[in-house]
This record gives sequence, structure tokens and C-alpha cells, in this order.
Amino acid sequence: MLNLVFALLFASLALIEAKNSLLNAFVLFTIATTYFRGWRKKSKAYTATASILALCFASLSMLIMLAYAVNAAFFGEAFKFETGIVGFVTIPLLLKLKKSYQTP
Amino acid sequence: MQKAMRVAMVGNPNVGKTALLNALTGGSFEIGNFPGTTVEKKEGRARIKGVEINFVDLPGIYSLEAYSLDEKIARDYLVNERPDVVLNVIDASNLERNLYLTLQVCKLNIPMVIALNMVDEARKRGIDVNSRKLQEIIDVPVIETVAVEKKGIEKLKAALFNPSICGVEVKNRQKLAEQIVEQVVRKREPSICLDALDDVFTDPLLGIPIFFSVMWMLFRFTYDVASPLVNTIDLAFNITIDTIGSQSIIASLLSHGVIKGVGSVLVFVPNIAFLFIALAFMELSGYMARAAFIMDRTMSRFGLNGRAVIPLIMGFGCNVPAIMATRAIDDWKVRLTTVLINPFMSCSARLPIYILFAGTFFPSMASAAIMSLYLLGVVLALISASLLRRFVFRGEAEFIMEMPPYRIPKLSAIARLTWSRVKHFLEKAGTVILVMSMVIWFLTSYPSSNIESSYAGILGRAIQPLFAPMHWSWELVVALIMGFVAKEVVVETIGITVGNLANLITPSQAFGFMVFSLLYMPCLATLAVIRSETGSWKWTTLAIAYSFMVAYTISLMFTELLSLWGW
Repeated sequence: MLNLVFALLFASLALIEAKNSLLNAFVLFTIATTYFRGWRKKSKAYTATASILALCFASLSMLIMLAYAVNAAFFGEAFKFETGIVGFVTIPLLLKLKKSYQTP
Repeated sequence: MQKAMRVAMVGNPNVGKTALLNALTGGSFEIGNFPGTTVEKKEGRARIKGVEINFVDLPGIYSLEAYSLDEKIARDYLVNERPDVVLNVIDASNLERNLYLTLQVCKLNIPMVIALNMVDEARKRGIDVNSRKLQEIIDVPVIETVAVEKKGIEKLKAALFNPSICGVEVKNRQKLAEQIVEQVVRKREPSICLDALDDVFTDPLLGIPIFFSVMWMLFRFTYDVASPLVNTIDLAFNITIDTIGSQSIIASLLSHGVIKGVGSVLVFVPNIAFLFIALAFMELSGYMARAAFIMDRTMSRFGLNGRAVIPLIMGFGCNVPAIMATRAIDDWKVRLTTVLINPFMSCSARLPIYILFAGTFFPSMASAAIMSLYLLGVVLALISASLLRRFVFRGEAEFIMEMPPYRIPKLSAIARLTWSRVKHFLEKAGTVILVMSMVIWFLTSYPSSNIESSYAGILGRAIQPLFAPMHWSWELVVALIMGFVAKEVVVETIGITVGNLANLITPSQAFGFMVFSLLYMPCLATLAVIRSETGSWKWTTLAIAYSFMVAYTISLMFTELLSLWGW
């Protein structure tokens, strides 16, 4: 069920992001599809992969926002928000998955 | 004087031979996590117990039957050079396949020591190997090692002085390997789940979208995350140039020649370093091989096989080692095709050109513009492969691809790999680019200080009519000519000759220029390696003529199409 919730969350984010960047939206949509396939197949591997991708994209978004902040402060460039940062919400799910794999 | 002891390191691809060589000698040879990182023998020296030892790291091979060039190099060395000791490196997670080679090497009757490497990974994967039992059966010292963590290295060094000739009679290698594995390997439940990710990464529906998502992340990391560093270096160079000024000839040479020229290239070092960090992460984690596997389905339609994918991906770093990596391809026709299309894979030297033009003309979509060029390079490489395989090098291509294990890359390994590649770029900046910056300064300052009447201006205007359909100015034409020496020099020349790039051309012409820079003739070093690997001037000339023709046509097409679009 969590897979479906995350699939819907990332699909919604993809729709929102599509106005700003089609390629960012593509990544978010790929994450949503991976969660969705995990829900259909009832496979932990898909959930894990989708969560890892979301976490990577969130970490990248955070780094990009940091870079924007530095550029805004010192070089007069504009600061922009990155939707991908929402991917950090998957951390609890990843931790739960890690635990479930470690417990035989 | 005592003769140095010669130890030949033999093993399957991707078993950690180079990591072991580094651990034994304190060297810093490049290591990877996909088959074919080593395609020619590497040598490292160490003094152990007062004895000079010369380690020879041979390319990874599956057998001594020489089909591909790397297998031939390894076999010839063992048979003709007869080293004092063979250090057979075995991946503990894949004992049976590794023993197949070990038993073949046994027949050469050269004293041997076995390094049972990556025992930690094997344990995580639920594989326990009884090394003592293995030693008893083969009658050769077997030492457990974890090369990347330098574990077991001292024991291994000691064992090198007590090697022995195999005591096992080899009749049917495959059967014997199976029997040995039955006796020494115990399997239990694995404690990690990373292998399960393969189902998703190689999923027929999701594999390619995930790959493109990863590529997009890589480009944003390269361009956006590195941008504050680029801005800072740029600012530092501008301040230095202003401080020095151009009152005297020496000051002018220093500020407008050396610093402006070399600085215009060095300013992109953060982008290149970030690209290499991302590539090193993909490579060491094992994802690169999955990416190759996913793309193989598509690539096989273009007449290439699995072994061709790795050299092509390596081309994103530098075409020179990538072309050398084609030695792992046993089919000569596939190998030649891969060599000839490799320059279309966009190497890191071209990245500064894209960043300069994308940042100037497409600031809001710079990452997308850069990624589109990389994709264009891949598409044209595949189309060219298909044409070459259909009309020039006809034949079937079979698919053999080995999946390395997933690993969480160590920061030190990423740093080492990134540094070894960035170092190459910096060395170029200190040599070729430095010299070229002085040459360009001279060409742009003499015989007249007015750049349009300078040698560069005369040369550029003479050749400019060839590029008139693209509406490029003579400065850009000169940059392309200079870029033949090394692609970084394109940006360097623009840095010296052009004031404001945005006033010189339109966005459509700029994109056309980026496309041309991506595709036009390979740099001097790449041409030299094409000549040496193909052994023929015919194929080298073809590489120049074909790439120039493709570059001209495609770049003109993009310039016209985008100008119709209103850019």
C-alpha cells in the first residue's frame, strides 16, 4: 500500500515539476512508475530501488539548492527551489526495508 | 647485482588484480568495477624482505586460449617470458569460473601462489570458501585477501617466497573445478540484498528510464552543483588578469596569453572533476555494467556486442583509453567498428565548450542542452556502427556480458579514481594548453596588434568561407582549427580572441557550433591511438574524413532547423 501512496506522491510532483523542467519531471515520474510496479508485483526490490532513486535525487536537489544559495549570495544569481528535495520523505521507508532485509 | 624476481598476476576480469598490485607496491593504478579495466600489462616494483620484485599485472582473462588481444597479451607473457612466480588472483564469490583458469595455468608448471581475493564480499553474499582445504587440494599456497582494504597483504608477500607448482593432475578442467568447489565452498543465506536490485535495473520496462534518470542526475551534478566553484575560479582569474594588465609585451603575454588562455580551460576543472566523481561512483558501484547491459539490447541491433559497450561508456571520460579498451573485443570487425565510432562519444575535454556555450546561450536549460549533445553523440555513434557493420564490416555479433557485484563505493576509491583522471586534465593544462595559449597569443598579437589583421585573423578569414553556411565568425573557425591539437584549446582560443560571445552568434548558430565541436575530427592523441590500434592509416583517414563530414552535415542541419524555430 505504501508503494501506491509514494507512486501517487511522486506522480503528482512530476506533474507540478513539468511546468519548470521536463527532465526533472521525467525523473520524478520514473520514481513513481517504479513504486507503482513494486505495488503491482509486490516486490521489495522495486520499492528499494525507487526509494534509493528518490533519495539520490533529493540529495542532488539539496546540493543544487546549496549551489544556488552560494551563487545568489556572492554572484547575484537567482535562487530556485528544487521539487526533488521532497524525496527525503522516503528515508523511513528505506530504513524499514534495510531492517527487513537484515532480519532473516 | 641480484636479478629482480618477476611475479605475473593472472586472473579473470574484475577480480581485483590492479587493487592487489596497488596494495603490494603502494602504487596508484586505476581500478574499476567492471570487466576490462586493464587491457595491457602494467608493471609495479616493490622491495620485499630485501628482494626486488617486479609485479606484472596482466589483463583479466577467462582462459589461455587467445581469442582477444588481451588474452593474447596474457598468454604470450606466461608462455614466452616464463615469470618466476604466478600470482593467481581469484574472486572468492565466483570460485568455479576462476578455477577454470587456475587449472589451465597449472599446466604451465610455473610456481604459483593463489590470492583468494574479496573474501569479505563473498561472505556477505553467503559464500564461505575453505582456503586451507583448497590449498591441500591444489597444493599451492592460498592466501585470503581483501585488496582494497589491504587485508592479508603481509601474508601474501611472505607466501611469494614459497610458491609451489600445482600438485593436481588436470584432465577435465571443468569437471575438476566443479569437484573442488563442492569440497571447499559452503553456501548460506546472504546478508545483503543489493543483488535483488538487478531485477529493477535490468527491467525491460524501467531499465532505460532509470538509466536516463541517472544520466540526467549526473549532468545536473556536473553543471549545477559545480557552478559556485566555477564562478569563484573565474572571478579569481579575472582579478589576476586585471591586476597584471597589458602595459608591456611580457605583461600582455602573461595576462592575455597564458592566464587568459589556460584560465579559460582551468575554470572548468570543477565541472570535469564533478563529472568524474559521478562516473567513478557509477563505475565502482557496479551500476555502469548494468547500464551497459540495458543498452546492449539496443546496441546489438546496431551490430555491436556487450563487450563494445564498456569502451563506448569509457569514451565519456577520454577517447584514448576508451579506444585501447576495445582490445577486450575478440571479434576484429566489431573492434574496428567500436574504435571508429568512439570519437563520437563526448569526452570530458569537450565539456568546457558545451558549458561555455550552454551557459551563454541557453542559461535556463543548460543541463538539458549539454545532455542532448551527449545523447546526440551516442545516437550518431550507433547509426555509424550500423552503417559500418552493414556495408563495411559485415558479420554477426554475439553477446557476452559479465555482471560485476554491487558495491557501496569507498570515498577513498572514488577520490583516487577521480584524481587520477583530473590529474591527466591538469597535466594537459600545464603542457599542451600552456604552449597553445602562447601560440594563440602570438598568432593573435602579430604582425598587428589589431586581432583582425593578425595571423589568426588572416587564417580564420581564409578558412571561414567553408563555414559560411553556419554563419560562424572567423574567431570560431580559428578555435576549431586549434582544437585539433586538444579539444580544450577551442575554449582557450575563444577566451583569447572573443570578447562577448553572445554578440557574435545567435543561439541556433551556437548550438550548431556545439554539435560541430562534438563530432568533428578526433583530437591528435585520439588519432594517434586509432592509428596504433587499427595499425592502418586507411582507417585513421576514414575516421577524420567521416567525422568531419558527419559534423558538417549535422551541425548545418541543427543550425537551420533551430533558426527556423526562431532561435
